[in-house]
Amino acid sequence: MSSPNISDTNCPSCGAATPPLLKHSKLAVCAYCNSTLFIEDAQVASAGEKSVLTEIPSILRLGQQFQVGNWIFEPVGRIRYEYGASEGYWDEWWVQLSTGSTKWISNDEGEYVIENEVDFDGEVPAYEQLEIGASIQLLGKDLRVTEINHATCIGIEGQLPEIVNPGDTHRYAHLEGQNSELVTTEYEEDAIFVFEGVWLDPFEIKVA
Amino acid sequence: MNDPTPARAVNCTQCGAPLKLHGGHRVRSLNCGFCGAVLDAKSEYAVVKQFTDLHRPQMPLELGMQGRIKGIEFTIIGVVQYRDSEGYPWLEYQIFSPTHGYHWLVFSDGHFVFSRRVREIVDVSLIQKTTFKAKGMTFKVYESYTASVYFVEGELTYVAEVGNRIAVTEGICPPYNFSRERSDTEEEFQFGEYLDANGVYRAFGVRKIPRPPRSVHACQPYVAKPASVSLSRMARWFAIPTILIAIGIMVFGGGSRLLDREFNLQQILDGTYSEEFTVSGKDSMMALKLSSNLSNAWSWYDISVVQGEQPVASLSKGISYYHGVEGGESWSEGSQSARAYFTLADPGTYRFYIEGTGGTGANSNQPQNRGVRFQLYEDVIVSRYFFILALIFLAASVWEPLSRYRFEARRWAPVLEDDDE
Repeated sequence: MSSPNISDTNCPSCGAATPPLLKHSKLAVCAYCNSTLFIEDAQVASAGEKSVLTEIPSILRLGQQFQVGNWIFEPVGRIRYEYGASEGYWDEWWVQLSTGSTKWISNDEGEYVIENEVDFDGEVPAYEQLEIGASIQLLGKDLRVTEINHATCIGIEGQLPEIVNPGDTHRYAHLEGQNSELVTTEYEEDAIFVFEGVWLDPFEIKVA
Repeated sequence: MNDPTPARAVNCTQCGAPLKLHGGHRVRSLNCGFCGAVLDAKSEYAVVKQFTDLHRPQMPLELGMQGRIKGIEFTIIGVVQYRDSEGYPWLEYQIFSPTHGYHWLVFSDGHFVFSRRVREIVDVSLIQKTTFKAKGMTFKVYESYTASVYFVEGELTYVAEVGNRIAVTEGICPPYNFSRERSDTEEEFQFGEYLDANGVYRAFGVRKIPRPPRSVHACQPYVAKPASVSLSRMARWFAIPTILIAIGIMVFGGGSRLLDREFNLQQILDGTYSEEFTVSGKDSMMALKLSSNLSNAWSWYDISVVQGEQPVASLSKGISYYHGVEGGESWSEGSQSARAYFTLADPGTYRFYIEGTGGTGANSNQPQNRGVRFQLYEDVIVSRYFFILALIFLAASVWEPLSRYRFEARRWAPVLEDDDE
């Protein structure tokens, strides 16, 4: 399914061949030595860190095709976040669809959401202004704030479209809409990112 | 690197009882079944509330049991007992799978429904038997009721308090149901699927499986017995032709008349022969019809069929007819005619010998001066057997639809009774 844009490369730490890297990948984890690798201008460089994710039960796994509804996708990377004060954790899977585009699927103990980042120039409520249960209009939708929290990256795997390091934190809010809609706003030091998507029924996620 | 494996047991911070943990990090509360304490799973199990005098209900499944539902392994981590406004109880088990999350196994009157939250927001009508669409299906509103929490034990993904109430409207599309649940602060939608109770017990390793429930659950699917369906389908094909044959026989199967004769009372009392009649066929089915206008009386006829001087067949038939008016309504009993069938093996010439008794009636010791008419037919086809066969085919053809109708009546009976009250 993946369309390698970077010719076969090798891990600068252990020399193992890296898997085909996607055009938008900026980060990858060597599957053999777990070294974190930067990808830039078709070059692979070691980030000097190792990332090991404890295996937890999951429907999804890297390199396997899955289908839910009309989407056929393959997970190619994963970020594990811890939320709050070690209240819990979830996985964000970077998946490539059969159409070639990519999305994020987050999984928190069986709750699945598929989202993609939205280019949004409009006004996003400030994190400090958010209250649980408040009604908000965003992206032309009527939304309700259902979660406000902060997340800490505790591990990465596979390849990712952004530079994320274990220990990185950001704040986020979940805004729920009608008909399974979810909007996530992520607040980093100098930017706010908006993601929109829908909840998935885990019983409808099948191996393709 | 953080190890996400949670602790597996804690002691109740209120009473010290050992409480096993089976859920994941999204568990919000841990409810002690011993002392009724509600512990906050996110605040080091601090006691949030305590409910005393709780009565632990009998439960078919226990916390910690594991079983496969829809191919996924689940663990029972908590249980809530609800009651409706009439005191009808049911259990909702919170079940957990690390891959598929937290859902519910609802137990009600021996039935199990696997229920999970859905994010679809649906406009649910409150009027019974109206419909709404959800999950690509059309649901019929079954009932609306208020559910109150009566007992809580184990781990839950929220904080349930004894006395909490939710307003529920349930729609059915067997084997599925779809419910809207409203509390003071939120609204949720649940999608449920009826499960075979024996399958659930086996899945969770229950050895002594209870008897199947007698009631019909709201979303229990009707399962026709394959034999009933085949019988009904086959019978439908035969019922109408059989009816048509029976009618045809009734119209055209009367045979040819050989004798039509009246005998007066004296002739009957003395005994008399009829004139001769000729039977042309072999093993001919004969029909003898007797009719008399006796009123409130009975009479009995001994009849012999004679060839030459030799009796070849004998039969006896009675006519009894009573009628009157009682309380302004007329009544009648019996008939002024009788019919008999017999066969004559050989063609030839025959006579009847007839001798009768009775005819006196209820109010006299003198026989009524009423004669009897004899009509004899040859080559008769008896239609009654075909009518009986047609009735059997008709009954068989409606057996399965009737079974389905009775099943549906039992499904709706509990909520229609409530309406009547």
